[in-house]
Amino acid sequence: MIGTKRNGGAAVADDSAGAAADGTPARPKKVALPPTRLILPVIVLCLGLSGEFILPTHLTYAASTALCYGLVGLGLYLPLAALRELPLNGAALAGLSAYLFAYNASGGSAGKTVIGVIIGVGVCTLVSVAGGLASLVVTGLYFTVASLVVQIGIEKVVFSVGKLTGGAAGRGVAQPDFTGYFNTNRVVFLIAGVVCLTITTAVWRVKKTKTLANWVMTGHQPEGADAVGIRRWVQKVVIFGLSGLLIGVAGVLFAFVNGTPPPPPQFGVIWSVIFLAIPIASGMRTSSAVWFVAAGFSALPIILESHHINPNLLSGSILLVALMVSQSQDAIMARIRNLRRQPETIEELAAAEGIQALAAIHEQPIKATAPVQVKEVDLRTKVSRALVGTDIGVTFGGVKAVDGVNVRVGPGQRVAIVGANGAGKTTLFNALTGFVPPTKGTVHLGDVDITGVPAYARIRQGLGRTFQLPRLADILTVRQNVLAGQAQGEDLIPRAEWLMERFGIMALADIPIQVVPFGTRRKVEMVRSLARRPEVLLIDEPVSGLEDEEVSELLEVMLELQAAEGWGLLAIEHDLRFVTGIAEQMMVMVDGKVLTEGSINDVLADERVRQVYLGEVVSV
Amino acid sequence: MVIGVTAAVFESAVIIGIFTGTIYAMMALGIVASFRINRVVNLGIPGLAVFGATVYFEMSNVWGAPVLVALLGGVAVGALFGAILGLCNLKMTAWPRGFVMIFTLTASLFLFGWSDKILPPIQVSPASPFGDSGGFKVALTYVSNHQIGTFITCILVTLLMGFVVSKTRIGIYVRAIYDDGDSAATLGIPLGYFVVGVWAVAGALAALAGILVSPRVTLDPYLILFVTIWALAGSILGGLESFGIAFVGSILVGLSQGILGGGIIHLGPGLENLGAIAVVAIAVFYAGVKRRDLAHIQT
Amino acid sequence: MAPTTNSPEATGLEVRDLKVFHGVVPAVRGVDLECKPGQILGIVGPNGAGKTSLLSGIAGVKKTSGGHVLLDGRDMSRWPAYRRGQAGVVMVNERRRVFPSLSVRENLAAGGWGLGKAEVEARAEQMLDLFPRLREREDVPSFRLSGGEQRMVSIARALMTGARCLLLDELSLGLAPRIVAQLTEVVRQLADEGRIVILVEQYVGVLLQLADHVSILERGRVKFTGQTHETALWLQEHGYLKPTDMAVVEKKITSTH
Repeated sequence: MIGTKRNGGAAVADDSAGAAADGTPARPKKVALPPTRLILPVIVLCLGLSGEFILPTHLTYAASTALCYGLVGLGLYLPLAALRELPLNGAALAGLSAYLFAYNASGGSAGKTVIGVIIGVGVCTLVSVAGGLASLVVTGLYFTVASLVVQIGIEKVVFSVGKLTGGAAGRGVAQPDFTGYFNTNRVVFLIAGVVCLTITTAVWRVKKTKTLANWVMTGHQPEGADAVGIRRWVQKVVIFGLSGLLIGVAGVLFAFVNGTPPPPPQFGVIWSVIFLAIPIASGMRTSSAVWFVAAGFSALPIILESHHINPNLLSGSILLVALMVSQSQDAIMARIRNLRRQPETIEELAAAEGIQALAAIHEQPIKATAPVQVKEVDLRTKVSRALVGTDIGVTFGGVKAVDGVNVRVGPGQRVAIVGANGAGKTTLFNALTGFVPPTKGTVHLGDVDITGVPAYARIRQGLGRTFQLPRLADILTVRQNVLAGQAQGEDLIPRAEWLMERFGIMALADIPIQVVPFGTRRKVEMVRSLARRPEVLLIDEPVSGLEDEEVSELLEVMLELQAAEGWGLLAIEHDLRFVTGIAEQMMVMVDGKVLTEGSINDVLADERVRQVYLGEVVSV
Repeated sequence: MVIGVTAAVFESAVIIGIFTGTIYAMMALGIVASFRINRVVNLGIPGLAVFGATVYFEMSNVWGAPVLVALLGGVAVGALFGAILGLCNLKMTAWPRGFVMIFTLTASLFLFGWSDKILPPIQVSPASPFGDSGGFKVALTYVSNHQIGTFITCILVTLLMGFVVSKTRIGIYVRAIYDDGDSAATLGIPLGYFVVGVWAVAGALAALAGILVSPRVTLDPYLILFVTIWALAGSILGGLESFGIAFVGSILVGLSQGILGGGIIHLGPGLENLGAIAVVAIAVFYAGVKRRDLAHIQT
Repeated sequence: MAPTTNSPEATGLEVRDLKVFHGVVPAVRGVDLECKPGQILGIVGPNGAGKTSLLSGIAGVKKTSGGHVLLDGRDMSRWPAYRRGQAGVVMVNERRRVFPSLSVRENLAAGGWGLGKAEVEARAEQMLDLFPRLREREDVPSFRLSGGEQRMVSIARALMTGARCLLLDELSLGLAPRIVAQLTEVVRQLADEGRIVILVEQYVGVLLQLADHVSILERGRVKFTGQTHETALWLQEHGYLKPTDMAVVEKKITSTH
């Protein structure tokens, strides 16, 4: 039975090879990520520009301030949304930039102004990048407190240097001197508006590319990011660098709009929190809403000025409203959750009201994509290297999870690892792929010793892996998850699409992972790994959570692809039907050691293996 | 840079540092208490402190109530608002912890605002519960009864809290909820009451801290806010979990400020905080890295 | 051990049409179960079938989106987890084992809510007798214990409450077979004392050996419920067990029942 399947696989592979020879070369095309709503910031800006002509001048000043707030908010939105870190030093960074700018530019000449901008924005970016590097070490609560310490440090040390801040009067910054209708305030607003529009467009362009998927993957699924070969520290540095850049520009604008940098209390710790509340209130998922919130934040105090409201009460109310707004999204979703039916299929699931609301929140259209004509791709890959693990041992707190295991997966070999839970199978996987440092032993890919190589680099070297619980970023779509990260060849996109079609998940390509069933997520992960042309693919429990028919389908696809492409396969699986179908070699692990290994029929004939399966006492 | 450090100058710098640290330690108690139950950094503490001190000021200086009654009044109000914050926390179990933290800050801002409305427009300093006069000289430094009283109170409360958490059955339940709320609930431990209760205690501690801190630094919300941030930095060394380490950490922060800013090393204006910030930054990094390793072992 | 009543009102645990959502994805899509005092109900199913979600829904740890949970005829569906715990429905979660910062003894004491001090002491002693291995490590912070010891602590902790109804999640997961054998003995004993035990397992062998009834859960629905023998036959019919395995299973079943 297995034999026929293999033959079938080979036949299909021949067909596809023929199709590729017919002259339909795979052409890389643009990554089709769902569109972001640029329209919102444009509307805001149009409103602003019309306000330019209608508003009284003191309100144009408020509008300029709103732009500065929005820019800081956008700067904080990046680490918050992509990395889930809460930096509490936005105000200090903006202040740093503002004062450095004013200090250098106070002479008034254009040259000095440019130098001031460069120094202000540059220092701000550098400090932020340092924060990004720190976030590799300290995360979560500790990162937040560390950023708070940076805020206090800058506030207490730098801002208390009178020479820098210019003392009580502040240091003047040259503003264009105009009178008449186009007075200084209006011109300043116009300039600030143009700067903001430029930057927003740039950020939007970046978000439209694959970069977004890489960022989100880095922050939301670090191990997933490793598994697609993303160098995480680079991503963090880029995100924080960009964040610092935006905040720095905002700081310069603060000084420019006011004519002098605002006094240090304006860049105090409370303001850091209020700035952070801007992206939080905007829901953290849409960068465009940041502008609305910023406008609200800056307009409210001005509107309420005549009522003499206590500034603490006012900022407290603003924060509270911001938090409520951001969290009410979830409440709405919960309400929808109670209303919804029980969808059976993914299409029904997608059609259900809840999913549509989810889609709206994610700015991503949810519809089953029409079947696409995917081009056949060249299946032949050069696989010549074997993955060899020698005497691998992993110890956790005194417990030997893996104890001196030898593994070899040659080109085109298919090996299965079975064993009880806790036998150390996944730990062995982690050691082979670099997710856990082995206590002893070496790992080689061909001639290359990859024992000390970090996980992402091993993936780039030609390993591919999936996880027991799929490591996919919830808020990204299937397609984004598949395409994120590094590709081995030029043809990632056509190949990925071809694979998605082959695995039967093309219809779900633009649906966020969040609403994709568990079993399908496994397929997404497998497509993600295979799209990168691995030389050795390691799959961890590929069929748990799949239906019977799905298991046989998956088996068929995997065998067919493997026969055509010739990668090596190492699979952990409990399901003996799948194991006997997919593997030719098999090893059984018990308590971190190899109980027995060999050809699949020999191993299955072993009485001890049977006992392991029935949960009986077996010792190595 | 070191200019003629005599033993007496050093001693006085250390003493100043210790008493500054005591102020931070007082604030740290409330932060640790509320974190100890549901892992939320309670930035409502400065608000509770200011409001508690405001009530104390109103009762003692304006209404003329006896100091002890005023103290109890302030602490009770602190506990009440702490409990309300705890109740709000229960409604926010689905929120990311960082958001809950920001929510607690809004509570602080509201309490600041209300205190502003109650207090006279000028800067005030309430009377010390330990008496405004009296004290003695240690080396070159005059130590007031208030400072000594605060120091002793702080140590006593730290010991008491440490004892309750580590030795009593209530402490076991509190730690169980902190480790794993769901499992604690399924064992029949009423999670909600504990969160509200512990936050009420945190509120009371914050109010007490405010009452003891404000006679020294005037009742200014922003001063108290900064005191809280130093306290937060001091207590993060113990992962916000340990009252004892929070106390020691806060004293260390105070000491570094006292020694580096108090006349021994002159770094110039504005830079006297540099040392303290460096100490705190190192502490935060150390704690963050240590915790990461711990988390790794546990999973 | 706390004796459990077998009065006419003690009708056991009943679950009607329970629904639990995992975010927006249904994990449990309307499950009916029944377990009488003194019985062990086994639940088996593939990964992602909703087994743990089902137990969490019964224990109230996870919010349910519909259906009812009744203990002795009392509807607990709207009770928070701690009230269900006090009523005697206690879950032992596979992923959350112990309170890591508490010592073994403190872990046990945490299960003694509502009991007098002497009673807590006495029950803790009973538990340490039941698991002699834990007595040696009484004062060790429990995060230092091995997986098996942690599992013992979490079961002992649940027993401290004198629970009427134990929900055990993956009893044998990651444990050495010797310990599993020891635990199965304890579980059998607990049921014989008149408790309700619901046991989730992925190893059919252990389950068939222990349970009186077995429900097979797939994609959040009960696909089959029956006596142990019937279940074994069903599993064989559907290709989960081979005839050779059946012999072993039969042997196991007859040896225990």
